[in-house]
Amino acid sequence: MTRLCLRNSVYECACGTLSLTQIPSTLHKHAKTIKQIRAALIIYTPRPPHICPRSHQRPTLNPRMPPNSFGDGCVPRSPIQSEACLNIAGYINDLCSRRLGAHSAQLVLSIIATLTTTHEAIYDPHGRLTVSLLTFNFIRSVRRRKRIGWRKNEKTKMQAGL
Amino acid sequence: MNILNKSIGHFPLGVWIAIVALLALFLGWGMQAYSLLDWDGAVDSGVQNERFTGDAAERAWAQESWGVAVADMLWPLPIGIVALIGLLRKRIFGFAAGLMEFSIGVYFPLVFAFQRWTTNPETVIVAIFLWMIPSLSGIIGLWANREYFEK
Repeated sequence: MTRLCLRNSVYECACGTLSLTQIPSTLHKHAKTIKQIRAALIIYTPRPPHICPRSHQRPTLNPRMPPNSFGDGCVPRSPIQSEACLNIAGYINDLCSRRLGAHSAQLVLSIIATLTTTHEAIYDPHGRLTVSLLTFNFIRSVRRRKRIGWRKNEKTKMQAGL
Repeated sequence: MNILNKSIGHFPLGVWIAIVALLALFLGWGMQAYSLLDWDGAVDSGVQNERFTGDAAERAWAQESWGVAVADMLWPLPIGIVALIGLLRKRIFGFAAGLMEFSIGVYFPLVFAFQRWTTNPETVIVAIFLWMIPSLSGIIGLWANREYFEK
């Protein structure tokens, strides 16, 4: 999982709640954050997996995650990225808790989650709107050039006295 | 004469290809509409991947997917309807709206591929074969027949 996250940068690990590097222009702004998250992925080294007694659960990869009601360190099965995302969230939570306190950390996390989810929800439809408008502009410019070209020919013909 | 300009029934072959590609895209918008009406049913049938009842990350993804589904109802679906009407009536606005729709049809499977290849590769492959390749064919078909709509 750690290899997957490092290979695909924060984008894959972020899984909606913490997608901090959506577009290249924002990449440099979050360079520090990426370093912190990568550091977090190293800090949260997965424990050796063990077998969970319930088929719908799997071992947690985050040693700092609170145990479930059975106390055996198993969590519900979910996409692999969710665990990575919770690792990052856990790291930010720890970082903010140390500096700001637990309540502020939760507030920071919820603000990040809201902002990034909103950004993600805007980013994709915005792309659809942009490509379709660019296509429209392309068609309009082609037709306009064609019309101008045709008029130019008319003018040239008139000048030539044809 | 290009084979795409060859008339088959009411339209040239290229326009028929575009109409079929549009119908494939309507299937996608239909899936999004169904998701908005019954999200859990859409997840059960594989149309969507995340539930609102999962962990924090899954819920965030579900919210993002829901937002995209709403946006699809507001922009790509109406453009698709305009394109279909325009193509059937052999009007230039149908040509323009068709190309706009197909550009979206190429764009979103690509975004999906970059976004979710490692987590949902089967969905990415379906999106490429069901929407991206037909949309590319639709663009080629319409562009080959651009003079047809200028008449």
